[in-house]
Amino acid sequence: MRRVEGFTAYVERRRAHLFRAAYLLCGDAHRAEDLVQTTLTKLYVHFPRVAGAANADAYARRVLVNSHVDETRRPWRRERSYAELPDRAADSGLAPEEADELWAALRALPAGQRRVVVLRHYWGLSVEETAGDLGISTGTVKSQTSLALAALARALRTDVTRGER
Amino acid sequence: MSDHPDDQFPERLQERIRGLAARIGPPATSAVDDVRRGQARLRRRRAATGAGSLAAVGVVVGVVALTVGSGTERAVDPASGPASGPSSGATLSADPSPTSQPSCLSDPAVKLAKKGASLPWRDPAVAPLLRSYRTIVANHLDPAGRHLQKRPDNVQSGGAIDGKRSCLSALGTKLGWSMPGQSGLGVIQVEVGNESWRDTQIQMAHTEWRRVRTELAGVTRAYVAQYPGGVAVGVVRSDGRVVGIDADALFGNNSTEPVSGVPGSVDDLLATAADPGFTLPR
Repeated sequence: MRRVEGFTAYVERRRAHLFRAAYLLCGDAHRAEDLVQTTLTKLYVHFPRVAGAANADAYARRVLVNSHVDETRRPWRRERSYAELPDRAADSGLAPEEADELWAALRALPAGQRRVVVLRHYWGLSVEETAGDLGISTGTVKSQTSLALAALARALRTDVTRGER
Repeated sequence: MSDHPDDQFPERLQERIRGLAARIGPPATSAVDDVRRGQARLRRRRAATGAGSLAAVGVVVGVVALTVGSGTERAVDPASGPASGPSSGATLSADPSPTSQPSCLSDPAVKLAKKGASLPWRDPAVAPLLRSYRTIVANHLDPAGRHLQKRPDNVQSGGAIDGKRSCLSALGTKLGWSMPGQSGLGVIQVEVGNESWRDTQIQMAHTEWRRVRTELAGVTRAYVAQYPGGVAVGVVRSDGRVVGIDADALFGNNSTEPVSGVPGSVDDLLATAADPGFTLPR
């Protein structure tokens, strides 16, 4: 029973966060929900071992990102991101045009670079943690981050030219 | 205009991405559904493990039956190729992969297996192998003999019985790992297989696998999975054999309390898995 209770509490606390990360990764609400379900199903099996809040988050994050990696390797599930966000209910502090601009820039990134950006700039992971999650070298993380930031800066040219907003 | 972002760009980007994420409204779902899906997966996983164990017992006892039941019958080393000569009671399955040849035992072995011993890991056909697995692990990870369980007391195997014959594809054991002064118990699981790496139980037990470079002798591929509380490694050898080692701080079958720290580093575990002494029944 402890597994069920602990897992339920974790899901209630973190499911929205996982869904948002999944959406940022794949750009599709249905696939994001698939990724979250896959992640939580695997997490349930291992939950007694990873029950600490930090452990469970780290485990879930790794499964989520690796499931996305697996998905993008399947030709019939490759990128099919959408032009608009699924919902605009929350007050995020971003003007709609800013959000659209950023969203377009993010979904234009190659999947690998987008994963690095999401892990580093949404989850707030270090280079080393990102490398550990993705199973790649820190050098690759740095180079992908650099390429992604340059591409985003180019796409969000207003950000570069206007400086602080 | 330069495309190079200024120093504050990463910080501003983080704020904007988090702002963007906050605009994404997650679907309304119930945690009950997630629990139900998790429980179903857990049941499937346990059922698969149980089926593997049942098959293992049959196969193990079958190996014993062939070994001791008749002076003319013998099992075959799956790495050595098809048995030759009319006196051999063993056959090899037709497997398309040149490096994937399970040991398949003929019908008499299955019948004799019904008279099997109650403690298959003590049977002479496999007990020496399980002891050799333990010795290899101890030599690499516990040379002072302070942590590793002294004798194997279980057999973990994979294979299939289709009524006509039984095929052994993996053999292994779980060895307890204790720490002086601690009441918890960790585990070192060893699995030696002769099918593909993806078919091993250790591979299927984890999702975090990544391939790593290795220069270990006789190893063509090596994998590592680091998960909360443990590390698992796998190697594929040039002779087609696969060896997995899973070092978990918690021996889930025998303890509810983990030991502190995982036994062995990744390099130690890979070196252990690459040891040429890991073999299957001959």
